[in-house]
Amino acid sequence: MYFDRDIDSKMKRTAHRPLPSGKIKPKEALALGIFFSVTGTLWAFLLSPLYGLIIFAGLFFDVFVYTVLLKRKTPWSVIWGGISGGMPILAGRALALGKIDWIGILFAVSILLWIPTHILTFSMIYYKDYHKAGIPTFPSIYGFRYTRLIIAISSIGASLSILFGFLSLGISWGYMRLLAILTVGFIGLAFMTIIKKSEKINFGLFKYASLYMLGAMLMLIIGG
Amino acid sequence: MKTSVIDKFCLLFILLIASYEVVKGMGDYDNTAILFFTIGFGVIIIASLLILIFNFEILTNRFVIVAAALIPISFAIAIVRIFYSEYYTYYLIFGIISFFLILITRFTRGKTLSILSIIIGHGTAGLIIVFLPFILFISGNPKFNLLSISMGGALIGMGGGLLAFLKTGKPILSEKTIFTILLPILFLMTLFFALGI
Repeated sequence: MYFDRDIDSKMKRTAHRPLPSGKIKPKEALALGIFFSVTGTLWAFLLSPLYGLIIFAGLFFDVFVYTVLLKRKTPWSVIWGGISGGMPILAGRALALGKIDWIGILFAVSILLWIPTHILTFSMIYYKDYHKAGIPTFPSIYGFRYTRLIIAISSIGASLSILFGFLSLGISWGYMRLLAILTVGFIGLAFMTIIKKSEKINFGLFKYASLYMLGAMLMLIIGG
Repeated sequence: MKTSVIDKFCLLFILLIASYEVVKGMGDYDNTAILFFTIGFGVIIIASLLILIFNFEILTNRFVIVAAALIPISFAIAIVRIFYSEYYTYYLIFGIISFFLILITRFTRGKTLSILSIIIGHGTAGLIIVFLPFILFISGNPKFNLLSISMGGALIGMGGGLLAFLKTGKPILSEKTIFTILLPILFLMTLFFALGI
């Protein structure tokens, strides 16, 4: 990302990215970013003003609120990153229905709660990297134990939101059973991260969370 | 020990087959039988995902060992429910008690008790899964797919036995061989159960 190129170059995980590694010039990245963002948002507004507004909100929360305003100041910035992450699913539902309903909000909340599993796990695994780049993270401010607890709670919250979303949509019992199975595994692994302090289990939860979300979204497409 | 490319393919197919069974594949059974089949396939799905993420290392985890006991026990309860419903309540109680015995003895001291509880719980469930459908078939039940359930039961017994002997320090085959054939066995077991159920 254009705005984060200075911190990306300080972190091992991101130093090889096109901008910090010099493969792409900052001006090129900025021009391309603005072009796609403006075109995409205008297109979204043309499809439906409400859809466009939600897409714009997602972009605004991610670029300005999360990246520019809060990322370097507070670890709680992840919440805004999460809100912007939840916008695409809310936008899709709003485009289909022509309004915002509570099922769409429920799915957006599930993404919001799922994102900490991702970001906070990264912040533990690449703790030194973030520290070196001067980014405040949950582990650096509140410690690893508290971070693990937050990850576990948000994972449970994410899975329950998806489960309620499926129930509200009236997804068939077959898919509900499969989702319930995946949820049991997700919650079980989340509890394991609290019981057993292990980076491996944390990273495992991160991978499971990705597979869980992929599985849930596929089920929503096939069984919805 | 890490999983190979073949292992990963096996896990993928196991996940697909078991997921299909849970969503659509089960026969016209009552809700109780479907619930127990779902538990069995559910444990297979979660175990496959965990092996995919953590490799074979996860099989040493005590929670996973206890959860794995649910596969034969829940399948056996479902089979009894379908074919010998008059014994369902008795076997359900027996199955629950044997599962909790496995759970308790796994987290407390006493290796002998732990092995004994596994022999009782797993052993009885295994015998039911392997022999009950087979006996039904030779007694004149026309459903040919019953033999498939027996095959699945025999395979789960084989896989479980190989791991159990490895755990006791007296492996029948070398560790490398066991982990090479374990996931293909699990795949075939899932396939046979799916065909039979």
